[in-house]
Amino acid sequence: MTEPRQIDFRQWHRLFQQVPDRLVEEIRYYRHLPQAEWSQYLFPPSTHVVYGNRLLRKLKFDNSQAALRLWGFVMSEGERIYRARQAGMKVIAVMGDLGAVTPLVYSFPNIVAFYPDCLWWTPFLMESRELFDEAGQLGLGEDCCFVRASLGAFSRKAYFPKPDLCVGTVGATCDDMATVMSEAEQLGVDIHYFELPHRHDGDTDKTALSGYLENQYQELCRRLEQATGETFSPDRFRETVQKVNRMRSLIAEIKDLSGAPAASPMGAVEMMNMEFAALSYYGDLDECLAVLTEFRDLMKFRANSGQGYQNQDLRLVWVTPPADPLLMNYIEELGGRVVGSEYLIHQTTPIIDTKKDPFEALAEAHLKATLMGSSAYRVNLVIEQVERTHADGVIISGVFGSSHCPYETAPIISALRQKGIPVLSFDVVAPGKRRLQSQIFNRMEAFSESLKARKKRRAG
Amino acid sequence: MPGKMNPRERWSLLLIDELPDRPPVYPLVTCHAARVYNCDLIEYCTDGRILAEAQLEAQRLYGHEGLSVFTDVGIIAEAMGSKYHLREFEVPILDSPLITDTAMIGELGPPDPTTQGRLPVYLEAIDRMYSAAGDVLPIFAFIPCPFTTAAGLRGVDNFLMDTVLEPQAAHDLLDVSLKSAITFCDECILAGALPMLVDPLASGSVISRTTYSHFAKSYQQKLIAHLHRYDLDVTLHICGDTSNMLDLIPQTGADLFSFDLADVDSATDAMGDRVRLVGNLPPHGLLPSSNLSVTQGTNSIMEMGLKNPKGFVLSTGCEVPIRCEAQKLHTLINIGKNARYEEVW
Repeated sequence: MTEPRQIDFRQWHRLFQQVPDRLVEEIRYYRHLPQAEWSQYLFPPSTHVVYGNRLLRKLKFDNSQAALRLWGFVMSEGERIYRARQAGMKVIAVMGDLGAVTPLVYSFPNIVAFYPDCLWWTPFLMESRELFDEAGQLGLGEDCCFVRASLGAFSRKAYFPKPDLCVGTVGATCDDMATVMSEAEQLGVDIHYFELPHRHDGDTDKTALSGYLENQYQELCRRLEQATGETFSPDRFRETVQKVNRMRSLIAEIKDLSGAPAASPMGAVEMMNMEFAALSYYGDLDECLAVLTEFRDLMKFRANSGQGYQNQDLRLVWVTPPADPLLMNYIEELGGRVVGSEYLIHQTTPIIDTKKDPFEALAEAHLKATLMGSSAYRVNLVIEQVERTHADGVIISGVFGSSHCPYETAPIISALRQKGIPVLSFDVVAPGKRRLQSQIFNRMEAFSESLKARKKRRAG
Repeated sequence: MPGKMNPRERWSLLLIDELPDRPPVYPLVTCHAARVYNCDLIEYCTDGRILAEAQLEAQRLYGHEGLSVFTDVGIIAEAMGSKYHLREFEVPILDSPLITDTAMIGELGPPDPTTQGRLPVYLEAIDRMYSAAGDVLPIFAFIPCPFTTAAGLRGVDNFLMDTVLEPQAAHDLLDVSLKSAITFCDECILAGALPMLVDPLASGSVISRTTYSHFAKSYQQKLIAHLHRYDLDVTLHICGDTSNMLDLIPQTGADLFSFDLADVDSATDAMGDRVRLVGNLPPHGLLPSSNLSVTQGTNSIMEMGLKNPKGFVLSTGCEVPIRCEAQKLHTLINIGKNARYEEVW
């Protein structure tokens, strides 16, 4: 195996020549469609650069084949959803729940789910304001968070095929996404609303909450039956959930490995991509498992043999996913490594109980969600990560206009400071605002310098 | 206006076998951009900044849906050592070919695109265009195929004679031309452009079907295979009359075929289920002196093109003439932009 390094897209373009043809040929999605010439996805970042993903020219990538495969799988998701429809599969758009309802969706045969919400990073990847401007023309300006890009995508009709069903989670979740849903409905999109109750995290009556959620799942199940023309099968559900559980275990294991005591075994952007696989499995559950298994094996090898990137010694927990992945690269260049994360997707972490009634099991797992409860719940998730990973500091990347950011960032900062944990908090800047971006870089530099000085002092 | 796709989105859908709202409209606006920008062709062909700015200016004027990085078909041959004559008001032409004796072929190697000849002009132009508009406009780098480059290295007449009298030497020259094209393609990709392969000398107007099969096609295939390994969608452009070789085009592996003197229906019959078609208003029709009705010609092409199962791009059959009448080009583009596929949403 080659020595772990972070390389740029030029280096990957050349390195790709050495990837055996056999592998390029073999690594495919939708393996149940063996004749599909379009299903290969092991390609270097330069391929995606040519198609307008301009940020890739600036990013650093891990130099392993496993990471390349993960990148290829992530970057091909958009095309994959179109191919799914071309192959006769049903396409379900899921919004606002971030990974909670997809196990149910995937338990139906010949189906694929995707999150329009995740298009929030498209403007950053393309370094483009197109989708934001489109959303702006429809009434969603900068007072709404970056998920407004998905409204732009609904309007343009060029980022995903027309869904057979849209499932929109509303209630105790991201209200920016709920705004996107209602605007999308104005565009003629038919949405099945899934209501999420608020969780008090104190003396909440869990049974009542769970019962409410079970009803929501039953209603959704009926809508999925209508959309697919298939009957819900508990056996197929259990089979799907077993795979989902395997994925959740893999992700947890990989996250643990990222905190290896020696060098950092993987880049923060790859880790974020890996973690977000839990949402909709990038449109192919089986292949996603294969991608993550290879990724886990590599991480295990690196962690066990002490291999990793040089000169990244500051252990950091990252809170709230940054829509702009360049920020993660930047902190790595400054000597940071991300050993833990709280990306608002805690609902994708519980192992779903296959022995229970399906809807009860889903509801129980859903109740662990990050967004539906108190700020204190999220504060505890962050502190637990910091303590478990022995982090030197925390970075919180907020989103201007996002409701949970201003309300939750302050209590998280306060709780961390009370425990003596240094924290840097900023709002991610939309593409094209270079001066604001440079200000963030400046603050990251100062933060890393102060963490290094602190570490040195502590080491005596 | 909300809901209107941009060119990048339209092309992206086409390339994954989805019908966009309408076919992309991409006339081959190359050196005509210099006229729009009011610079001479020597400046345009030797300065990447000027080439980029002229292309962007022309795109702003006409609103066509792709940027074209192209000066002349000798760009690789020149970087390898052939001499080209640069002219103020016309495109460069071959002055003196490098290979005067086939024994010299063994000494040839691919040029360094970052330093040799005018290849860096392309790279600078691509980089500038990509930074300026790469999110909404695809950028096509026109790369001469090995057959055309070989002719530029040896001289057209001599090279065509070699294919008969010294076929091995011709293949040796084609091999090194292929390596050069691959090297240049890679750099253009890294700068942000999608290679568009051009092979004007491989036209049915110049060579026979047999010569095309033996000396041009297999090198087009190899170049396309290299690009396919990177999952890139490749346009092959052949000038002039290609009607006698339409059935051979799919064998090259091209994803899109840009053609000149062949009718769209014939091209559809020959390859429409596998290859997207790009064409093909006769460029001379855009000259002020032409009596061809651009409206009638474009409508007829569009009507046929919309039926191509694999998709269609409205274009010109070859480069838009330098002295193109702006209004005529506007007419072509407007007709294209008013066409519609049946809405799928």
